[in-house]
Amino acid sequence: MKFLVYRFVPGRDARPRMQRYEVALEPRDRMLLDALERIRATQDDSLAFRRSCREGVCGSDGMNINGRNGLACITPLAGLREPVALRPLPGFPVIRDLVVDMTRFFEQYRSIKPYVIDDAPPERERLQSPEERGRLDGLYECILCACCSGFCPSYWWNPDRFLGPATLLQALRFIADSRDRATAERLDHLNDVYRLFRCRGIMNCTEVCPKNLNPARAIEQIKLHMSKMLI
Amino acid sequence: MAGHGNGRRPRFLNLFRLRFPVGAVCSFAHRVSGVVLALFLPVTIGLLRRSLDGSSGYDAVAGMMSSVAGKLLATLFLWALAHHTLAGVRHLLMDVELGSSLGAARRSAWSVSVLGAALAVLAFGALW
Amino acid sequence: MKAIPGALSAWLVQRLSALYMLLFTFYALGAWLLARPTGYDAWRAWALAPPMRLPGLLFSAALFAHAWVGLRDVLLDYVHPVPLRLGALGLVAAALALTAFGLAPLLFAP
Repeated sequence: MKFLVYRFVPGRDARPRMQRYEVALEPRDRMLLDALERIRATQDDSLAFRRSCREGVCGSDGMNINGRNGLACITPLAGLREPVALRPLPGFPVIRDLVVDMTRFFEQYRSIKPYVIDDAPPERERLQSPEERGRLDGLYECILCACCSGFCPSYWWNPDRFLGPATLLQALRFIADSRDRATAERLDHLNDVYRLFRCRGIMNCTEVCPKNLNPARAIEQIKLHMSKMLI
Repeated sequence: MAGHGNGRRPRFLNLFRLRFPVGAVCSFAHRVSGVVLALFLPVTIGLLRRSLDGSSGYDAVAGMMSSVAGKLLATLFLWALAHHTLAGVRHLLMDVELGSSLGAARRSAWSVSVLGAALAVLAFGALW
Repeated sequence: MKAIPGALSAWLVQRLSALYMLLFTFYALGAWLLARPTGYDAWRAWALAPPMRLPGLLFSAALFAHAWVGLRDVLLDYVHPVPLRLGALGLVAAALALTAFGLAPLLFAP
């Protein structure tokens, strides 16, 4: 199978380039990650990429596959147009080959205080009805793979000021949590022309989410929450 | 680690190497059509004023509309108006959660883009 | 109604002005189809008729507010150096203001 992979080795390469690989796959190689491991094992072990769980839950191997972002470990090789073009997540600083710098992404995630805020100790537990717990569905499952933010044009143009779909989805996860008492502060923090309002509903995020989540809708819901709270 | 002194890290952002979904195309056209409408604003207002400024002004504007350049520009303006309005309605509906699921959003993006183009073609035909 | 802080106010202005302009368009289109003014006199009488005045004035206000929010968004997205962005925003604001003044005689014509 033919691959065209983005290579950049700092210290060796002045500029990134695309490297061709033609690799004989074994029958058990079903997913793109298997092929990448095959390349490392049989041809070029200098190729760098992140990976861990190999089942689409850790979010390590997010990359641009034939022009769209996805997770290598759950992208089937069958049906991929050849040569399979692999590039790092768009817009992120490239450390090496397919490994990108996620520092800013995680700083933005931390900035929205991704934890339940309730300083008053409960009598026993903080109770939550099934209906209230249901409001977290479609939000808690995010694995922070950054496929969405890496495909959002607004995030490309303003990666340091716009929070991006992943972080904003997580912001809603805590706004929607009935146990959290800091809703007003969260909404107030997000009510900023850059932090949230760079989003204009392009919906690239939802198109590429490997967990089938809908960050665009989450951002709309935050705007509705804001409207209800502030009017 | 080696290489950090070399400076900034590269970013992959070659838009020609990306495969954009229909919603992205619709959204980009929404922005372009908006800017086109804004650029046309002085012209539109000027023509409106002229057309209301005596029958000679009215005839002058009608004359401009029948020139080839006038028809082409009018078609561009009408496409921009059609697409921007249709895409805008799509956004307003998504604001209230109508059509914000992936399937619905894709379908509405297609419809808006096709309808906008169709209206432009119709307008061109009507002007001609 | 207390003032709406932050960027939410701009977003609401953009949405509400859009909605009003949509409604006005249907209104004006309907009125035009009913009247079908042909020739200068009929056109002028129709365009400056009392039922068009106030809605038309509101439409113009909505149009400029909407255009400003939209163009500002474009500049915020693409222009990063702060002085350049502020300059561009100023230019656009001035251009819109000038255009609005160009429309004023029409809105307040006898």
